[in-house]
Amino acid sequence: MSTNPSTNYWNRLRSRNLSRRALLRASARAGVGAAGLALVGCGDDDDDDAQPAAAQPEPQQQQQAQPARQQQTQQQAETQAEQQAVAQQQQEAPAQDDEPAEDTARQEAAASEVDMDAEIIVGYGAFPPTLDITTAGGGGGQGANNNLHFAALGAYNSGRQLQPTGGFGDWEFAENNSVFRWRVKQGVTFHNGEPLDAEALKFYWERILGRADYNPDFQSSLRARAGWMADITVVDEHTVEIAMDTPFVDAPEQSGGINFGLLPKQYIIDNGDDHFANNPIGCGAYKFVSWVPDQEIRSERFDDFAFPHDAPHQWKAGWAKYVTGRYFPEEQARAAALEAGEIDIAYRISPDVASQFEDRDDFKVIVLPDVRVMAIELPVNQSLDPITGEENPWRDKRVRQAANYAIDAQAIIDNLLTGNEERAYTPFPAGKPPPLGSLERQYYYDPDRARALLEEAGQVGFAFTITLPTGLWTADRIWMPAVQQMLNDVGFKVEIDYADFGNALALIRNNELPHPFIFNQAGVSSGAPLGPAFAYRLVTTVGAPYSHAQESDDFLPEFTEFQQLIDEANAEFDFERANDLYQEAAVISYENAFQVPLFGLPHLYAATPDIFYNEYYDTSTGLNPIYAQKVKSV
Amino acid sequence: MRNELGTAAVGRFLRSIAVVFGVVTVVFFMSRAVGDPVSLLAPIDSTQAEIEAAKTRYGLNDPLIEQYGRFLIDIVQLDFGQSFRATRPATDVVGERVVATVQLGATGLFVAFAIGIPLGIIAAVRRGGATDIFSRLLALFGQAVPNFWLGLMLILFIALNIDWFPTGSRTSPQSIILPAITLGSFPAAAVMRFTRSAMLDTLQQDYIRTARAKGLNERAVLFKHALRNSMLAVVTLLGLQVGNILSGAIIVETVFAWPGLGQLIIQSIVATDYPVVQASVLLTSVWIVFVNFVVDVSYTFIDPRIRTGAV
Repeated sequence: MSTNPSTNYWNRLRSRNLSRRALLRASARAGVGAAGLALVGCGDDDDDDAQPAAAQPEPQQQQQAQPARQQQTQQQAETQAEQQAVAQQQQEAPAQDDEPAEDTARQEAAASEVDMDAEIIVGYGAFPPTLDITTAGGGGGQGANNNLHFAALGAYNSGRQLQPTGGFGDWEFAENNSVFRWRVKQGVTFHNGEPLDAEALKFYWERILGRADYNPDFQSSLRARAGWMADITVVDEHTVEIAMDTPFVDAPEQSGGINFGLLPKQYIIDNGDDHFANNPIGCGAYKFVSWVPDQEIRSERFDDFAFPHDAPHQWKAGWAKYVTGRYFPEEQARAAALEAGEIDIAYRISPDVASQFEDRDDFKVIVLPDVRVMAIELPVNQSLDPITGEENPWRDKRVRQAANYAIDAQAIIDNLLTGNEERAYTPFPAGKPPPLGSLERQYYYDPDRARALLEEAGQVGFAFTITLPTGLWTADRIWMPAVQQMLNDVGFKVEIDYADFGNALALIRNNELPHPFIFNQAGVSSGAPLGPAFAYRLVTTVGAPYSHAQESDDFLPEFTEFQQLIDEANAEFDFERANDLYQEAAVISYENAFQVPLFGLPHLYAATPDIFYNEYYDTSTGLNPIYAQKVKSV
Repeated sequence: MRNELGTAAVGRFLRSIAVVFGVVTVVFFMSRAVGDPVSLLAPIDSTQAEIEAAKTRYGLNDPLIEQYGRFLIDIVQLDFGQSFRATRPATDVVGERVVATVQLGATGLFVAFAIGIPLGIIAAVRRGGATDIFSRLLALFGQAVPNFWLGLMLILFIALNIDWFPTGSRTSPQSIILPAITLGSFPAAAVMRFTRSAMLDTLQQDYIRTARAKGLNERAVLFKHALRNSMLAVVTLLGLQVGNILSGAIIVETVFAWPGLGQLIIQSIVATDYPVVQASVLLTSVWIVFVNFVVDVSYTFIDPRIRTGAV
């Protein structure tokens, strides 16, 4: 078995066997309550409040389940030395240090018994509406398709940096950064035997751009991302050059990054786009076998895959012979399918459902870090408060820091979430230390200090609204009221606007949301999950779609300095230099509390005990069945 | 008489068209009031230019009244546009799901009537007895219990304990049993109560007493005279239950991972995929209106008094 000892939080896999908790008991208890309600005439088919109530274990039980961890983490929050030690441990300690030795030994022992002929059945909560990776966009459910069937040119390291060599292609900037060049790995074929060569690449990008002759009307969701590409020229059988009208530092990501799954030229020309969207061919670790929309996707291991199991990047050969994805939109039904032995892995379950599998010998809970690190984005550069019309209190650093000190993120993590989350920082590069700057330590829960700062700023009773785009982020309606209460406890007067996700995003993008809002691009102790370039392209900076900052704002001097560093970093072709600049900017952002970073949310999965999962790369799709192993015996 | 029936049928048909028109109009405006599909479906790091380009491509930047006019013209041609999620015609996306929902809905109705009618008859015949009380309690339970909860309980207590029943999906013939029971439970209760009530009413009629006085056996009295005359109310109920079955399917299909129209409607509403929502709603509303139309017409066959103009 390939093992990949993790070096930090993001790469650490924690697969735990947990004690038995009766799914039936919890459901039956809820059921008795629901039946009681039903008999007195309450509740009907559309009563959507009843379902979460039925699924949630009682808070008291949750607290009882984790008393030791709570005590430990509260102590961690009390002293700087302890907290930094924890962060350092997370960065440096190998995964085995965090796992019971027995469990690690079991995994290693099981490694020699990987069943290469096995079928792994994964129960997903979302399924793709199309199997063409270039049109799927944000349609959801892509994990059941993209992860398996497609591969992109570039290879990431564990810090989610695209490496110049080693993947399906090597890249370089040339001719004074006016040309971007990909040289494709030789001998690679698609699942149908077509070669991955320079002509295939040229066709691939031209199709995305709507320049391919076979169908110039083709609409790809990647078109804007590839909009930087000017002429695309085949240099030789394996080399393609992309001209750039202006040097574009993000060219590797926006041509060979994770979203750019490679497709075969002739197959698409011969069969058309509609056929391809139902019968995809890629060069990923698994080849497509069949698809019944919103029911099942079957895949078979691609034995001619270009890389071995132990490749030093995310492109690794699959283990199980077959992977079958099945669609169970209702979470409890997904859990029941796992209980019934119909699936091997229940994909992305909530903390409530995960708790049903705690302490059981016949199931395990797999915890993987998510790329979603929550933070409150603050309007620091607007002169006036949108409600009172007076000076904007967020311009005062003391008010911003008060908000940071007011929130007991660790208590939320321990009591309302799974305990596996991590308090967040502003986005900073992987490999760098947390951006503390002149701060002695990470912001921590200190309500007295928060109150004092607020009083000092003369802003006790400062009233504002926080918009929470709902429906996508784990347990959003559970942790948000706690954040609200904690802010109110120190003297803020906070209202929460629980908004429809799409509407909220549209308002934010259109700069129609003048007050703070929640978004998911911050950093944990190992850095921003998707890198600082990605994060700052989305949040905090001027013109970013999920930022308050606009060119016309009255910038704080610190913000001006921050923005200049970001601009410089975004235009820097030297990775190391760019990371130094991002780090410098992150320090300014964190010291000045431009955000209120909250916590990184994990992905939770439940699986049968014969499933082992030992790899994690920071793709946004979570658990990748390619890396899952089914052992013959445990 | 035929002319009167024909006129009534035409009037009924025109009213049906007005109902469908009203439904699609409400859905058109409601769906646009609840969300921005492009912001939801576009990759999170899409540029504003990309968002705007997509909106323009889908015609979402046009004035609402212009979109509505185009929508009305298109639906006459059964063109609902491209699904935002699936990037193919909405009618294709909806068409793929119809069979699964019809299969589930028909089975659910079968369950409802197969349970409801016999129980209703027995409860009426043995009025006040243990069977009557049991049947009424069962009907109360069927109408009071939310079907999502019943579905989960069937999964947890039956599918988890009897391997023969899968927990969900549409992968084997037996897959339909639990969702059909769940779907049929609510209308079964209604059918049972209607049947019982109608039978009780009929059994007190003079012609039933006459039939008995003539010496007919009880079976003939019940099934030939009482049941047939009670069926008018039950057939009326059939038309109503088609609507209930379709709305129930939205929840049941989600709980049991049944890849039908109900599940698609949920996904499309969440994703504000207007074209699919509109196509689905039009299809279901047409279907409900059609069934009710058929039910109206079927009265004439069930009740000779309507055919002869006696009522």
